[in-house]
Amino acid sequence: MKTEYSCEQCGDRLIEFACEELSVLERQLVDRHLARCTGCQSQLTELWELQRSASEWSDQRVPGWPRRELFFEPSPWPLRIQWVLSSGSFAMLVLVVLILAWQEPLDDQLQSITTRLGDLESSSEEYLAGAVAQLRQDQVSTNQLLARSLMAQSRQERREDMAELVRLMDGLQVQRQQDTENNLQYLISTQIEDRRDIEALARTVWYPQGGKQ
Amino acid sequence: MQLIDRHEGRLYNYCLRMTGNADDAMDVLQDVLLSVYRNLATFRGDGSFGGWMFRIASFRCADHLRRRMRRGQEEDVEIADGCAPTQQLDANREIQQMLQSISDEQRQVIELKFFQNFTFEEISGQLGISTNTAKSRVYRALASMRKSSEASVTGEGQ
Repeated sequence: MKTEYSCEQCGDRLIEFACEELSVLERQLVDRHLARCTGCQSQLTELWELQRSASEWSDQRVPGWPRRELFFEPSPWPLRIQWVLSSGSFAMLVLVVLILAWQEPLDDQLQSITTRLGDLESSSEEYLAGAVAQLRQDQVSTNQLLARSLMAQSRQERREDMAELVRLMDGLQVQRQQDTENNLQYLISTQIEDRRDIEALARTVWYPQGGKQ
Repeated sequence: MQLIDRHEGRLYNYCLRMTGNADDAMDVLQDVLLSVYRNLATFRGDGSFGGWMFRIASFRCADHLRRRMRRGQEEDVEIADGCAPTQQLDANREIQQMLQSISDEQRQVIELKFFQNFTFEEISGQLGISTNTAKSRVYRALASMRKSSEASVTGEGQ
């Protein structure tokens, strides 16, 4: 088993030794070599100095740069459309201004508008009054029609009721006649039987020996 | 946009150290972020997103530095103030001067190892070099910085 590194072997591992990337065993072997080798010691010192310098670097802030424009270049079409829209809006504005400039003066326009509004108001009132009168007339006519209809309906219903009553009375009369006939028949048959019984009794009373009448 | 917000600070400071110039750093940052954004679909997810992003950043920085070298421009170290205290700006300026004294290749490895704390395996994957090459670049960078420091001390002495 190796107990110490040579200068070449130490040199192969010196940077990792400075950066503390060696295993424990390798570190011990390098340590032993460094204890007696000034050349490797001075190299290690330089490496540590370099490490120290690197650790002293303070990060600089990145200056502003157009990253959005660089990474997400805008399509030329939206720009053109915007330009067209802006130009169109401007042209429309100019057109409206020109039309207004060619029109009558503002006071005349206002007077004309006021007159038109007054006319419109009066004609609206007339129309409204006519509409209300027509509505009332319509309502009266509707009420009359409704009353007539109700009365006609009532008469029809009364006629139907009377007819029903007559039919009922006829039925009752027939029924009574039938009952009377039945009663009469029953009375007649009863009287006949009674007469027979009386005759038999009389014969018995008057002719107790069974002689003929 | 969230992706940009999350990574642009780290990337900008990386570019600042690599190029040594705020304008160049901004150019490279935009280039890197655009490249990341356009190539998101190619990210396979088999490594860390940071590693993948820094691989792109390494290529872009290398391209930029190569083009700058071809033009023969030597940029002065320039720090954007970013509302940082003067002491911090001085420290940053010193670090940038130190990094400008080494080659672009060495600077890349130093940046990834000591500022971004990637392992040598990750650096090897990002730069397409072996771990031994990456380590030897670190040592060569140390030697260059030592020479530069000695030269400046000598210059000040004279």
